[in-house]
Amino acid sequence: MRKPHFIDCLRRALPAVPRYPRTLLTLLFANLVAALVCLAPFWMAFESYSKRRVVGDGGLLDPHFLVDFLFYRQGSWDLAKGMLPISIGLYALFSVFLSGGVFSVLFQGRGDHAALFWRDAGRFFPKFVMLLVWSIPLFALAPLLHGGVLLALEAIYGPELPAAVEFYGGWAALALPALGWLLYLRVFDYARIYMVTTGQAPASLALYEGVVFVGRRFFSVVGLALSVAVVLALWFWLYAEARGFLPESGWLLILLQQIWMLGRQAARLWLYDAELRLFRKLRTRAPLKAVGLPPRRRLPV
Amino acid sequence: MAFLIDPPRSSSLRPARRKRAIAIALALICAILPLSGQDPDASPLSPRIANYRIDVALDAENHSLKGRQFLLWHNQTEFPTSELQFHLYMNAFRNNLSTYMKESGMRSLGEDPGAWGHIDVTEIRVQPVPPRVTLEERDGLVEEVRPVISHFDQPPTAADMPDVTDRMSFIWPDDGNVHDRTVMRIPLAEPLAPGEYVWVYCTFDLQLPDPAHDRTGALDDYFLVAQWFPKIGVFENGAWNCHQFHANSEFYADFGVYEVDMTVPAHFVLGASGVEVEVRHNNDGTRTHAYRAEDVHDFAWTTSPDFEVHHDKLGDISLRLLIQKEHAYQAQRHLDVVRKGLARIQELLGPYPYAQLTVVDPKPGAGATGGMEYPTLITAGTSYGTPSRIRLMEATIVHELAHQYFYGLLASNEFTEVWLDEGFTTYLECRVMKDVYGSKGSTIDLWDLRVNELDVRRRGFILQPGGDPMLLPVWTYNSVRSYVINAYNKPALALTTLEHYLGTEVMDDLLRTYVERFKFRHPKSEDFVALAGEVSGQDLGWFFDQLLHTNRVLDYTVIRVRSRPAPKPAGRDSEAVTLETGKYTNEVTVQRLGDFVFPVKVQFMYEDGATEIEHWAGDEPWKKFTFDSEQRLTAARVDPDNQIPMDANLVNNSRRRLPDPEPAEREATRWLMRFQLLLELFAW
Repeated sequence: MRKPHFIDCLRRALPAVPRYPRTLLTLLFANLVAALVCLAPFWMAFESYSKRRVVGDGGLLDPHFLVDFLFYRQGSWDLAKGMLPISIGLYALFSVFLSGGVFSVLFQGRGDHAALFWRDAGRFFPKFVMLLVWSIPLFALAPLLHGGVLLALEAIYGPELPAAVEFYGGWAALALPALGWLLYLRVFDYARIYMVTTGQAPASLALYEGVVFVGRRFFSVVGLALSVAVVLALWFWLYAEARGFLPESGWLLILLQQIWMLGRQAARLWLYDAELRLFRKLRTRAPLKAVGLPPRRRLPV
Repeated sequence: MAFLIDPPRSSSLRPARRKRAIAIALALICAILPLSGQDPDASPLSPRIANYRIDVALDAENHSLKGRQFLLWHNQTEFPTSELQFHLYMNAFRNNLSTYMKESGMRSLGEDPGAWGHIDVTEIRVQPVPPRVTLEERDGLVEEVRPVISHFDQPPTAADMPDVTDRMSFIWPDDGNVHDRTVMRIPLAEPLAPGEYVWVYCTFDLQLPDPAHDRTGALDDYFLVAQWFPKIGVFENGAWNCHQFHANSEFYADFGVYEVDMTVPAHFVLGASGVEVEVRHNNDGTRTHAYRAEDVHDFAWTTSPDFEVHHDKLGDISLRLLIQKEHAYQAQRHLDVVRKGLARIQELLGPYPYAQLTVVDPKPGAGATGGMEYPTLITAGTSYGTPSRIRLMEATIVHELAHQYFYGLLASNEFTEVWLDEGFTTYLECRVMKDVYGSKGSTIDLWDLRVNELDVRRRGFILQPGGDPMLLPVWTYNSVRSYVINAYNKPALALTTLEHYLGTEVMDDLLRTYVERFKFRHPKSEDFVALAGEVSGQDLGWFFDQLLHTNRVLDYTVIRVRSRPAPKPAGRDSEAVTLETGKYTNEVTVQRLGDFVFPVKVQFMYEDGATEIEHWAGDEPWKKFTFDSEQRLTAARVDPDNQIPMDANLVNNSRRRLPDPEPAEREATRWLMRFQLLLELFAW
């Protein structure tokens, strides 16, 4: 039995990851800085509450005090909540910016190359943003999927859904857009890969190529992403086990967290590189079929 | 099945003797009245003032009821009455002019006429019993002797009773809303003297609102029939206490016996207050369920073909669960909380005096009928898929179980003293949830999120701790929020505070005594306050006066903590002086921010981990503690053991001498990782 393509790509991509330490650290640093930006107003709220207070064993957010904290520090809490989506949005854009550099250095396959990284990050950023704009119709599918599931259930069971159907149907209506979102991320990856590998391609065409590639190579694409997800889950389990041996706070805990996050970024790099290899491997075959060459057949012995 | 309600044997013609005879009769009435056929030797538990026999048939298709009822009402007061007053509470849903509709802010129940509810009393007949009687001479006195009154199960022939239908009118004792038809008045031909009985017969047509609204109504083939029959008000102190139906209150009635025959489609399952004594199969595809409830002050029932019935026992008490088929997998969960909750409540308050308890799971979509209490019948409410560690259904059931005492047995006036009803119940709910499910996360216990019922109540309370005094007629609170706070949250926190102040043992003793002494009566706030003083041996007037009659807020804070090396003697003539001081001179200032005065503990914390407690009566605006110590003071806090949940702001209860960033850092470390993970979801 032939090994699936994605296994081969993953196998080849894994040893390549350590050749990009600076890229890895850049991704980690971006994540850490963004997290600190998100955290800052919350930290200030915690400080304003606890700096002069005696906090019990239950910690700062012991539910007994939590209600008072949320109520009497509503202003700082609201500010923190309000800033959170802005910080997240900026980070999302910045990660799109970084991805141009990441895909470029991976495409070159010669290890870290700072000049290339930053040049192509800037070069591809507007194109990737256009890609996002072209993706808006795909985003619109999410609520449609959600509503579609509910409508389908109503069509089958009538307006008064049995409780079990309503419960599981509700979860399905949430899960489908979530799965759609994960699939879209793959489309976005392959569209970006198409742009980087072809150099200059309009965003609409890249998106189309991404959709076509994911559609045609669905099992390889999903298999590859799932494999990385499983490795990440194992990595998280290891982190959670190790965390139990450390105190509630302190530098050791922060260090462990960052080691975990470094692994997370390595997995991201691994995924990108494997996707790049998969794209180059499988996309070049497709046209061969398209031009109508007959499949090779072995004659029976 | 004979159920005799014997009147006082006789009463003198002379007023003084007559009064005494009535008083003796009232005192003895519980002891001498024979009970039902179920246990003819037992004494009635309650005064049995309002006793009903009701036949009612459900038209399931039209969501309507046709009924007729006999009421045997006993004037057990020392005052005559020239009229009777009845609740017709289904008329709250009659139109958008009713007091209920106005108070709840609803403009309409819908376009469909079936969405509205109403009750029309079509015939009323009244006959005082017994008629005037013979005179006999006994022991040298001329006495009025009445014949033994007719049996309750042998009411007079309706057609022979005087028809007073045209004398019926509506009154509006609470708000003067002339469009409200929830209180009916019937003048009597002759005043009913103290100790006398009256039979009232009436027929009525009733339409249930669909969907159910505020605690009663129908949804398709599910019916929760509450506040449905013409129910007589409470005659006390020479006047009728018969309030209109309000958005947030509905209960005040006298105890009695209910014999109710309910006819419903044969395939419907039925549950009701009391105990089922007979089921009759009719020829028209219906069944008549005969229920009997003794010593209760209300009667509610439910019916639906979708109920699945589960049975259980707790000692001698039969537990009956009517659960929606689609929630049947949660039946054991319901029964578990009923068993554990009721067992704990009985430990705290004394035995549950009835033979059965019915728990109803309302149909999904009829949530308005959930979380309700009726004598020996409660409604809960759950959703499919609710995790077992989110115990909202359990909290609701425990709340309604507690109502079997504070409402069921102690029938306080919910309209004017709601804290005795909902407040005590909420206090007990918090306590029992903690006892049954643990002191941390009794209501929600999910990973890091562990919320107790008392925390939930505090959350509601601190939104507006000083809105209204607690003791107000319910419809006069300044907002629904104020009602919720003063009916539920604040009393629960205040009683928990009182429990901590008096000690749990004294509080338990107080609660048990309160139930024992006032069960089957209408206790008032002053009864509880006096009893609290009696049981605790302390004058608690200072606490209850502030709590019940003012909107004062309880809030203590530490505003200053100082600790400096003790000064050494210096200057002229000081060389030979030796001061007996510690190494440090400390100063702690505690302030009363609110105007509710309550004694508090103040804890001083030292560098070596040692602590010291001081007591402050809390009656001055602030107090400064100045003292020396060998160790340096690091912090001070009021109420260090969190014994005063009524404190409106726990954030300001403590103060450190020097800032300590560690707790915030510890929390920030945890949140940093959360944010890093969160951001990865958006890393494209």
